[in-house]
Amino acid sequence: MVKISDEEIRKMVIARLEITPSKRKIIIGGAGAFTKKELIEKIKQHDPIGQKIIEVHLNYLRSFKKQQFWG
Amino acid sequence: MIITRPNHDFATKYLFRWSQTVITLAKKRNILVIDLKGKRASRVELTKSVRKNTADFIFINGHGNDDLVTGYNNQILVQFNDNEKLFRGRIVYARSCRSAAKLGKSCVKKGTRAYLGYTDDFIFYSDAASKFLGPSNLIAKTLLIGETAGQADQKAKDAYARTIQRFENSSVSEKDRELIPYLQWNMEKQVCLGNKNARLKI
Repeated sequence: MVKISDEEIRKMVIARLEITPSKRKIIIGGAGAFTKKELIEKIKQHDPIGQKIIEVHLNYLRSFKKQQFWG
Repeated sequence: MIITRPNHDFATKYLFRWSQTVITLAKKRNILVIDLKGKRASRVELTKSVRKNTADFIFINGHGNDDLVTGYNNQILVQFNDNEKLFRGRIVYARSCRSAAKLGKSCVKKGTRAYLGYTDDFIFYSDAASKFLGPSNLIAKTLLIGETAGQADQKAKDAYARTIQRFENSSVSEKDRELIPYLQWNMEKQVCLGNKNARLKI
């Protein structure tokens, strides 16, 4: 099995965020509302918010591995 | 129904507005609503309301953590090992981050009939709030029409799942498709603790 590095994961999530419309805001609980630019910065800085976004995307990708199908 | 609706920041303003439709449904069904909105979403007001009223559904909107839920200006309303007994005998839906991880479990141990909430952060897009807060509202609305806590949990999850399935269709815009990981996240972090067969006495 190929191991993906943390850096590669960060790049992948950043690439996914890059396609987000600039003005869109993601609200993360009590942490606040963030634009894509802010989230990308937080991922690059290894910020807890950035880590949370990575976790959300990894969770989604893992669901394919578990072969979760809806409907 | 006792509902807390702080509106002191960007996120809580959304919860404030989106809760209105739940209030409307409750009133339509002749259910007394004690609306602790804005600054009234405080520990003192919540405690007073719970003690004075037999309302068996408490709907908390606001921020939270593993061991607490908050109200206006993030004042702590209920906290682990402090005042969980406030929720004794009631069904609670905490639309707050993380509180089901620890506080919810403790509430159930101390007599809350059912505690619906989240074990991690609740995340949503401001320009697609309906996709997130719509299913979330279904929890409260399902309870208000007399169904069980377990059914409320499941209906909300089914609503998320339907949207995810629709957005996984290749003909959908990128703008919709990018919501999928966050919809899935909220759906998976949503839990119903306690008695899944609990329903409101209406």
